[in-house]
Amino acid sequence: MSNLEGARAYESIVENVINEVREDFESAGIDEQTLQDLRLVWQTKLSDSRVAKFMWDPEDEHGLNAELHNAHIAPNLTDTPGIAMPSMSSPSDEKATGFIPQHQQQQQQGHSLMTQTKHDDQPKEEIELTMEDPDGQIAEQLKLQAKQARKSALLETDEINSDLDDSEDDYLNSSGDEEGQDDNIVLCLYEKVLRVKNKWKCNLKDGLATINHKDYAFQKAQGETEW
Amino acid sequence: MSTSGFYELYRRSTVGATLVDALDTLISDGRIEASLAMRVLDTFDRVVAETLKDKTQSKLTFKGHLDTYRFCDDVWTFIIKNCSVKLEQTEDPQGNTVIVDKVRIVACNSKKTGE
Repeated sequence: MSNLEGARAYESIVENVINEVREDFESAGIDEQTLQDLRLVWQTKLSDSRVAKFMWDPEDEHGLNAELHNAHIAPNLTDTPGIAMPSMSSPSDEKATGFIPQHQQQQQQGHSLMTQTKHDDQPKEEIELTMEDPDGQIAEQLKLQAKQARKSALLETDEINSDLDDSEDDYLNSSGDEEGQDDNIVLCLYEKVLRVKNKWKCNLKDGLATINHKDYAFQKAQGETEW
Repeated sequence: MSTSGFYELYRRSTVGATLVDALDTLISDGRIEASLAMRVLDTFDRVVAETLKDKTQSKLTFKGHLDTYRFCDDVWTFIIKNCSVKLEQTEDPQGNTVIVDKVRIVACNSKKTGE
């Protein structure tokens, strides 16, 4: 399921919020740099959440990126004939071992990784890259990190709300049962909710959805469910 | 609803939670006041509502087993299990279906937005 529109919506939200609060920053005596830092931190956190591919995303992936570089460099070093430089090649070897224990495999792997980096230019290939790491450990780690980041962010939401804003939406933040397992969540407005016996139909609109760690934006949604 | 008349519900989304997080960082670094952060969040509430209203076209459909429903304070919450979700958007007109074990839907009343 492609989520281009979700990514575009997020980009536009970031852009507009930053532009529209500029005046507030100025009248509070806060400099432009701080505003730009806010944008940067926000964008970085969004990228780290990996819910979509954004236009500000760096070409490479951080953690994986380092490994890729090592995989690229290592074959070159070891291939250089006549020069024995174990001290130089071994550090990169060690790092690359997470991927590949043997030299030959390293080269093969280096190749397949390079083709993967090419794929990486195309926005939607990004997730596949993590899937393709051989033992799946890195993908697992990244997912976990993203998850933890999201969770702590949500916790801090509660903190801010409870401290400074006796908001009426507390029931939203603490919606009780099974909190923290909301991997798939849709936030939206309802137009109509209809029930006939155990069949429920609902018309929703203006929504943001997180489904399987990907975010989507929608104009309208329609659901048919049975209780 | 915040004073500005827009729902705070989208603060729970990824784009909202990451903004809260970023603001929190600036506050704890002593670079901005909490009151300014609240103004940013108020602006966020409005911008998200406008963006979703004016700049999205995708249509989402879902089917599944309604595990839990709740209507409280004008907010519907549905927990749907074995849910198939399909998104149709302009660059992907025939859409694509994914199936998820569980999805939670939180929906505020559309009649009140922006009032």
